[in-house]
Amino acid sequence: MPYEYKTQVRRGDYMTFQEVILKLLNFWQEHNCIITQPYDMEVGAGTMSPDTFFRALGREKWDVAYVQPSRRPADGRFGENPNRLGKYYQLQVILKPAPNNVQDIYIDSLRSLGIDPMLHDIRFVEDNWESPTLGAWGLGWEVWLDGMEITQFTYFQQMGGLPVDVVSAEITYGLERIAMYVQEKDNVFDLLWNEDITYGEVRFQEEVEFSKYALLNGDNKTLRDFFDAYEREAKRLLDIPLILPAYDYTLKCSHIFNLLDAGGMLSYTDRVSYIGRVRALSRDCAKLYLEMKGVTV
Amino acid sequence: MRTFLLEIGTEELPARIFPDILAQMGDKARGLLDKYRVNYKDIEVFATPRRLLVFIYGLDETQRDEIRKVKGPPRSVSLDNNGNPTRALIGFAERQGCSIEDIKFESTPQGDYAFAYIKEGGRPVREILGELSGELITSLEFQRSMYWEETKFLFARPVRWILSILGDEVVPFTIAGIDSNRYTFGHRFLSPGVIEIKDVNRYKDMLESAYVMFDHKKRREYILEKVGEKSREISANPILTDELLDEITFLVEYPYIILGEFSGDFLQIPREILTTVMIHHQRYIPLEKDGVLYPGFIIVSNMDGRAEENIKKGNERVISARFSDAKFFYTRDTAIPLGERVKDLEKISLPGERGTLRDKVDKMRLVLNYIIDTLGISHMRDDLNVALTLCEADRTTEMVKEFPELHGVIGGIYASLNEKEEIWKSIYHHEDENPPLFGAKLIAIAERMYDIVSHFNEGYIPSGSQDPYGLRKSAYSLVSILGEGNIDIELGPIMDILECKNKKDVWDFISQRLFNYLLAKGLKRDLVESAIGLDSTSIARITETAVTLQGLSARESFPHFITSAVRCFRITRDLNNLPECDPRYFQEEDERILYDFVVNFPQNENLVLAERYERLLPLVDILDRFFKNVFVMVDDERIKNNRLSLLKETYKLFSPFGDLTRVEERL
Repeated sequence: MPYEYKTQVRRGDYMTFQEVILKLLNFWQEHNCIITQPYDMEVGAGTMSPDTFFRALGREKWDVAYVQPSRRPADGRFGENPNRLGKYYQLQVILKPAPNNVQDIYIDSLRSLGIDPMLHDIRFVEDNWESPTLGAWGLGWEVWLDGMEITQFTYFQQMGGLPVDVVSAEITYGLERIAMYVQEKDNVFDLLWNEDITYGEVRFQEEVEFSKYALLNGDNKTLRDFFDAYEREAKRLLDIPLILPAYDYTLKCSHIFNLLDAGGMLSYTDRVSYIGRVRALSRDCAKLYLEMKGVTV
Repeated sequence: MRTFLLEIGTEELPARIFPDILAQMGDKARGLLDKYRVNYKDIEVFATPRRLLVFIYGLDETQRDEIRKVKGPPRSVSLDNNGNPTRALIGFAERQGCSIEDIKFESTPQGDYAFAYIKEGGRPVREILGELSGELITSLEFQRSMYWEETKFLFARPVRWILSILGDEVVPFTIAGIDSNRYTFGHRFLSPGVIEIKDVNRYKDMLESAYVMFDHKKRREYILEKVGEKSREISANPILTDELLDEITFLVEYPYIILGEFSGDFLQIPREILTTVMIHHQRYIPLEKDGVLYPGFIIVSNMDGRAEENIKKGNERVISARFSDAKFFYTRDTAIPLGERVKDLEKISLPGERGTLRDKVDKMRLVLNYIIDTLGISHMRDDLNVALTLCEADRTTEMVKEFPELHGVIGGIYASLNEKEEIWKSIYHHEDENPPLFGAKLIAIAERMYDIVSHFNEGYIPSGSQDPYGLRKSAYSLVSILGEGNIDIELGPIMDILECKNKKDVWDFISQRLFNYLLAKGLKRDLVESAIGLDSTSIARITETAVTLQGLSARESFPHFITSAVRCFRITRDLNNLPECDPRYFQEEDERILYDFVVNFPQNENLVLAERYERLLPLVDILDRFFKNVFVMVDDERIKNNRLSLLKETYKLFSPFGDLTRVEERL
């Protein structure tokens, strides 16, 4: 078994990785969020899921929580680095409109993980978020728990190149980080997924193989051809218009772009141009989505 | 007289908006009080990450009266033959809301007119403060603002409460959907729940007991003192810049100092990397002992002692993870010598049509060798060229990808494994604003010039607050290196080497930085303008000229000297095709005297400026007599042009002082 992950740690009496997820989902369920499932495509962040991208537009109320496996091919480290992953799990919460006491609710969610704010140093440190491919940005913070960044907290201002009408609060928990904290682990692969199985046992081979693929074995021409084809399809669907399917192909383009980037196959000019192409697609998706809802853009 | 307090309660504001926003608050509050004619004794502004405070002390109860003067109809129309007010005058008084008694007649160049004197004001200050506060909050300017609620009010982060009290009274107003009131909040965790402020004088005590040190100056002092105490406990010294201290001050409301430790094994990683991680990524204060980094750090937390154990343990784990990453990068990076990385520069493209990093290094090499030739320092050529070849190679390392701000420093550290000191130090320091080493200075000059010119060639020209490539910083660095180092190099030829498409724009851009730099050195504006007016693009030469002018400007002879130069210049400035001055056409003795002086003046361009001044001094009298006794603009073209030509030649003697027409009258 070439990819067997040998864990050196003893099992302990900690909150497991899956318990962290379940507690948080449970917390947000109690705060009237609908709990949806991960989007079934490669995305770089929970924000890219249609449950966030489209729902942040328009005026409708929308409270949702879901886990989103997020792929960052360029961050892959062949399973050798204890803190870096080419794919990790985000727990994404959208509260729209953002409640006045949203920070307090968030802090309560940490209490549900057994983190007592009176016994830790929790801080909101400026961190502004921007996604060039989604044509989106917002202002907010990274939340520090005793010096460790555990959450990204953002008030959306723009999505798909359009200013948002009603501001959403986006709360994105880094699940591995939080679990490493509560389990006091120095290596992400040593995390206890449940009481018997470690994170490494579940995901190690995936990290090694996908790192090898993205960083060393990507095929420049194939990827560029994929990108062109997905872009063509997205445009065709936008013309019909079939907005959600078109957005799926936009996500495909975004992922292919990430692979090209991770493989070091893009010059600066290439990069700018690919980002522009993805942004144009997501902008059109956002625009058509609002028009379909009768909003003049 | 009462005190007014405005507290804008927010979610955590970005630490870097301070101290600018504090200055804005003070300036704008003073401006508004003036505009609303409100008398007060003093203003104080304070801030924490969660609140902006304005205290206005010693307020009058009512605003100052203002007498406004309005012009009415002429006297002839205002009064009838019996001297009684006409309907025109009565109408005017009614429109202005004053009585006939408030009207006075005054003479104007157009004749006598009626003027109404209208008394305005006397509104209660309490009423005005609401309006004023709203205007104050709205007028604050942030680099980036956001909206968060239905009215789409813009602020740096959401405003969550507004406390606005005059003495014991609420001053009501509404902004961003929030009604002002007498309620505030203490520390987010240590003092949960709302706090009612019954009287403004109680605010300070109540906030202190709610774990908020709202006075940022005291908070800063307190942190500094406690950091000192903590360091002394372990006989170490904190590595703490003002910048870091300021930032930390605005990350906490209730500073609590904790000492963290890390494994001494990490000290194998170069110190610069460790301190960057501690300072820039974690806002810790690194420590050193006997000049060596100490395996520990200071955390300025925002909690109290009961959380200390967790905070210490948590932060130690974070730093250990980050250092493990750095160690991982260091090991992987140093497996490939810097020299072998040079070939990979071809793979890194630059924005626009600038090619790759390799192209950049090639261009820089042309500039560097031009500088070496100009300065006549060919003994340094080989080492400098090696340093130049390697100076961008660290861009391919994991460490620089992770910590881009360490570019240069990392290259130097890695080069030190294989190269001699002159070389690695030149690489190490070449990104400093003003490198301490001569070799690094020269590479830096080549780099800054490349940066500025290549971006201008691509049309990436800074404007207003837009300067994404940091070109102003590059230009400022260039100016300090050349000015402080007194390195006399003309930048014009370097622009040619770099195929500059618009030399004038580039020079205007650089000379603007030079102008600011010289002003900041305490040089007088007009003298700086004169020096920049030199027909030269050498920063060192212009700097020296400005400094010399400043020295000379204290001399009694200086104003007269300037007047003489300017007279020669004014009369000849637009004339370009004058014939050469020919003594045969002289008619007056004073022409010959001037001519003799000019032709006998040393032709040595390198004449030190102060020396040139001494030697030119007799010219002042000669020119005085010339202008008194010789009428230049005679009808005879030949004689006139001959005189003008002589004056033009005379002015050339002054030209090493720059554009003396810029120098203000000092008589």
